[in-house]
Amino acid sequence: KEMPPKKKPYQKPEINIIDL
Amino acid sequence: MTNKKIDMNKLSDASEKIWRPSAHVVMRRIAGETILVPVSGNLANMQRLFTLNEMGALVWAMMEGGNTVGDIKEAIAGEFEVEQIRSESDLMEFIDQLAGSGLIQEQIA
Repeated sequence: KEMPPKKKPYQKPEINIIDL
Repeated sequence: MTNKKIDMNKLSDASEKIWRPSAHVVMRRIAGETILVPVSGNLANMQRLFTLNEMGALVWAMMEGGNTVGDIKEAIAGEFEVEQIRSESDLMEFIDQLAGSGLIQEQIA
């Protein structure tokens, strides 16, 4: 049986603000 | 722990929208970090910088390619192990943050 391609672990998209 | 209420109408309405990176922002990958630098004229405004994590950089790249929000949702659902409702609400939150910081603009057809 062909295995479905394994999905990558999910990571929440995030933005980090650097206030210089 | 807070439970966020998700407006399903808002999620579906947003699918056809196209968000583009602002012309006043340049993206650079430096030492594995994705950095967004606001520019005005030819000068970088170094007072406020933004960094994106890996998933954020992936979404940004898809926005650069002119993909709709729906396209981005599908790409995430197809490639990553995540419940659709969670990835959609995370994506909308991320888009709100980018738009709120003036980093992206909605493309009007």
